[in-house]
Amino acid sequence: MSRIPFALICVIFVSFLSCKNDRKYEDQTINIRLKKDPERINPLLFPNPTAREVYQYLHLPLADFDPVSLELSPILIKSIPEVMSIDTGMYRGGLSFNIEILEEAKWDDGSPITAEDYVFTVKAINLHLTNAAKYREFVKNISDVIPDPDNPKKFTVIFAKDYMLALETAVNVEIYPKYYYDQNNALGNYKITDFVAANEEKLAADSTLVRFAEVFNGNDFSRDKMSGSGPYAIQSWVSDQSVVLVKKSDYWAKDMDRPLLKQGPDKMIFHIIPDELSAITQLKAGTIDVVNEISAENYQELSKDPLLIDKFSFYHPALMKYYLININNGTPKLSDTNVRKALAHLVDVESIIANIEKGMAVRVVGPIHPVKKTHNKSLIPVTFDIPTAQRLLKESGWKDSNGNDILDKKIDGKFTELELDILISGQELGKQLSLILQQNAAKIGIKINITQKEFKQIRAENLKTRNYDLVPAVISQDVQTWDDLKNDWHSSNDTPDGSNYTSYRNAEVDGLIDRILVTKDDTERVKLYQEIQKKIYDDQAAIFLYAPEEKIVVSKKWNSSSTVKRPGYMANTFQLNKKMVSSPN
Amino acid sequence: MLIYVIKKVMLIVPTVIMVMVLAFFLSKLVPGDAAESLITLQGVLPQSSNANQVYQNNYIQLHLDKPDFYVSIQPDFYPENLNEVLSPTKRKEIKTFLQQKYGFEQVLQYFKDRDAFVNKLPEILLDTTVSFQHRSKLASSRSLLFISSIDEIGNVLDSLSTLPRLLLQYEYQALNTSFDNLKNEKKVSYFPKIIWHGTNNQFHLWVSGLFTGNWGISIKDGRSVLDKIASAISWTLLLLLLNLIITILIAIPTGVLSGFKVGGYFDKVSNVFWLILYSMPVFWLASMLIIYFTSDAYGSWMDIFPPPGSWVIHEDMGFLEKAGHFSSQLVLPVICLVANDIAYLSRLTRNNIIFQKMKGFVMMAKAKGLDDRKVLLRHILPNAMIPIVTIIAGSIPAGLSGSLIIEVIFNIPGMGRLMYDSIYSADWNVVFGILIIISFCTIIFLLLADLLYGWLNPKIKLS
Repeated sequence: MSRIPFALICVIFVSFLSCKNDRKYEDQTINIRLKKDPERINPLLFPNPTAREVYQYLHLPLADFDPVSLELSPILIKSIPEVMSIDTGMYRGGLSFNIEILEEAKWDDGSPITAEDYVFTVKAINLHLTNAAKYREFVKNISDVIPDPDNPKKFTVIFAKDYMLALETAVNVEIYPKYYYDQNNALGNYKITDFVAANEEKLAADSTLVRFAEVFNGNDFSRDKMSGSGPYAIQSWVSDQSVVLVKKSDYWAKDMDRPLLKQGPDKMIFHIIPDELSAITQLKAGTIDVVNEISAENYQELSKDPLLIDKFSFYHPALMKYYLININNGTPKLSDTNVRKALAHLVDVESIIANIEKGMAVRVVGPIHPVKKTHNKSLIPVTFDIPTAQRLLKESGWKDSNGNDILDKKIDGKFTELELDILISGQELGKQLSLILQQNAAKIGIKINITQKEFKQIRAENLKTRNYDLVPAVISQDVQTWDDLKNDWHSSNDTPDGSNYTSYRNAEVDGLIDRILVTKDDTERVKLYQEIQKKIYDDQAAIFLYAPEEKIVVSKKWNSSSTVKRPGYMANTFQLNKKMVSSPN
Repeated sequence: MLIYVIKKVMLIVPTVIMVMVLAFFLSKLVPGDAAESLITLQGVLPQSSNANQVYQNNYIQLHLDKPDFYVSIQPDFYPENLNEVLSPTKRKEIKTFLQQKYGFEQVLQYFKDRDAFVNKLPEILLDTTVSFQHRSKLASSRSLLFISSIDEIGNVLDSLSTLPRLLLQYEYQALNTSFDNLKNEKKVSYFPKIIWHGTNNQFHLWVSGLFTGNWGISIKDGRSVLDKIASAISWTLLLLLLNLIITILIAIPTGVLSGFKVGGYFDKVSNVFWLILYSMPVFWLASMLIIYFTSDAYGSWMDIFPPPGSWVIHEDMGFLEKAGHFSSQLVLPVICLVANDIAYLSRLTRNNIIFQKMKGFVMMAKAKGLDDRKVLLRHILPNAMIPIVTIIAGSIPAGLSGSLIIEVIFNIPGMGRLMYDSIYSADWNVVFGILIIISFCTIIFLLLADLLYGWLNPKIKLS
């Protein structure tokens, strides 16, 4: 019997500990929800969007897109360099940029950030043995970097060929400290010009380079050892639980007004919370200050709750992605522009935006996001209009000749019914879209069959082989001004390995895309982009739906703001709202 | 008994090997491969110009170009190792033609001539001296890149036969010849061929790593598989242990009481209560607990527990505060985990007690004058516990694979989440690691259950 009181005491004690304790939250600590673990924090090797939410405070590029104007603005350099044409020498016909790094810019060990670090970064990316494949696609266009012999902070970046994204490539890559990532000077014996495709075999045989790549790609530099020029440093990282960043003391740029260099909260704690309900509960309880990527439904509910309006700021900036339904332009039925246009008229996009996105989205009319200056504003979104769809099909000779409620027509002498397959993945939008399209299409005699499978499978088995009719998809874009339309819309990429998944072939569009690549005048280039959008719009090569908006909720404990740049906010620019601190909950 | 245990222990090796082989081949049936997952993690978009090159580098680096297993049995016209074809689209195309029984050599030749023909097209399409009609006919022949039906290919080639001879004459003739060869060499019958690949295969490379303690690394975050599993299993074990202790402490006494006093007040009330508890979906219960008991939205008196999933330990926390922080986070998930289990186990115990009570030896014990307590403890309970032990022993390895719903809702980085995330990202090293551990534990716990039978009821002989 003596054991019972002891057990009882234990239970009471544990229960007491387990109940809520109102821990006093540190004022200068911001708590942010991350949807999943960043996995690796190394922008050159693993630039995934979740990791970006963390590494944007650790690693900085020379210049980046301004969170408000979306124009390139200097970060580690004095100013955005002018483009200069090269008229003489071995790089004649190419471009160059004279760049000067800020005098005060320095690494964590106090050493200055110099041209040497830039050269190291370019070499590390272009060495084919490293995993920096994403950046290599652009940086391989840098032919050489010539440091100024008199000033280690100055250098010239050379592009042997005229390249549309030359400026972005030259300045918008995170710079790594050479002293930290190449302590043995493994890349020092090589020139930038050595890291070209023709030398890959030779480079792969060099054990020093192989060893460097192993270490550079290794987990240490993506998890345990990280050093960058950003205003914060990593303090701890427990996988699947939390990442903690702390403000660097005596940071060289603390008095500068450039957004990415700012130091706001003393500490940032990223809590990894996959479940949205849990994240919202924590937000309401005051243990989390920032939650992004909230579903439209929950966002609307929170923003309309009178108890929460005074406690939280609600933001829904544009998100750099858009939804579309890929149409296989190469099939006999869908090669007819009228059929594609009719299908576009059958999707009630406005109603989808109202119901699924709760109004937080903007229509898109072509492959360029509406916030970009290259977007063609003169194009009017296709309206939901069943009679027009019916008329277009009639004009193309589709009629129900056998009375089975499905339109038909002879194509190349073959009796063909207007029956289409739409392939969807498990996403809610795809399900809703396909059902709406199916119902509306049935009204005018188009039979739509819905098949659901993994998107990986759809890409491998259908998109790549062009063995499909309709596939809803999402296209993510960067904030950069000049999008490369060649991959998705040029007929040369209508191959099994190419990504012109719509099999769109228009010689005029091909010509315009090719002209963009060699046009130097910005105004002229913008016109070309707009012309391409007009052609694709006229051909209705795909059904362009809408660009959703990000949904972010931030505690009013912080004076905050949002941006179109991912992830939609910059916590380092947040300042403590003194009025709210006394009652954070 | 000892021989029985040795036999069972020896069974572990073949069972684990079987699980490994099965898991390995199942992983090959899943769409996509690890090289594709890695390329996504590297941020390389499928439309990037270097996507294929990066994929191929990853493919070789992950040894996916090697044969799958030691031996393969396949039709005699198949290549020895199709994995050597590095391009995923080419590999898939070749497979499609092979499945239609076309010879490998002929397929390769056809691809070569087809690609040469299609690559020449842009040159002709830009030539304005060629009539629009001819150009559009040539343009439509690009569809050759996407079709694998021999009839459709024939139709496209026939449609080109009316073009003036000078247009791509050499390429067209070569393509036609290789297409005719392809058609003519179609296999009507074939023999199965057994190919021995030796130890230079994917399975061997992975398994030999296991035996040398190298379980590989996760392609997702580069951590060692053992580290990842160790970290996840510690959470799952903690939950499992708490679940087991609480379930046994509540379910067995209530079940015994219910069964012993069947039809009584306690039995009736508990029956209804367990039925309600058992009917509740775990995700619903979890959501309700979070909504009502972690905020003051429904009254401050209901704001008892902290919101779930906050595992951050602050530096200034003392031991008691840390312990309190952890235990407070565990209360709700444990309630959700035990709810169903208690109801189930209690009902099972009750039914077993009732069943045993009806046995002759119980009547005999009662007739001999033993009191109820002694009859229950000495005669009914040991026999009633046998099926319960089986259930508990079986639930431990099952519990080791984690509870995905609970782990996601309460943000617990346990085995369920690890398994789900790893399968989703084709992180097979981690998936295989988890499977090995779970199959190993299953055998061990079933063996322990067998030993417990003997201990509970000495009449059961293990041999």
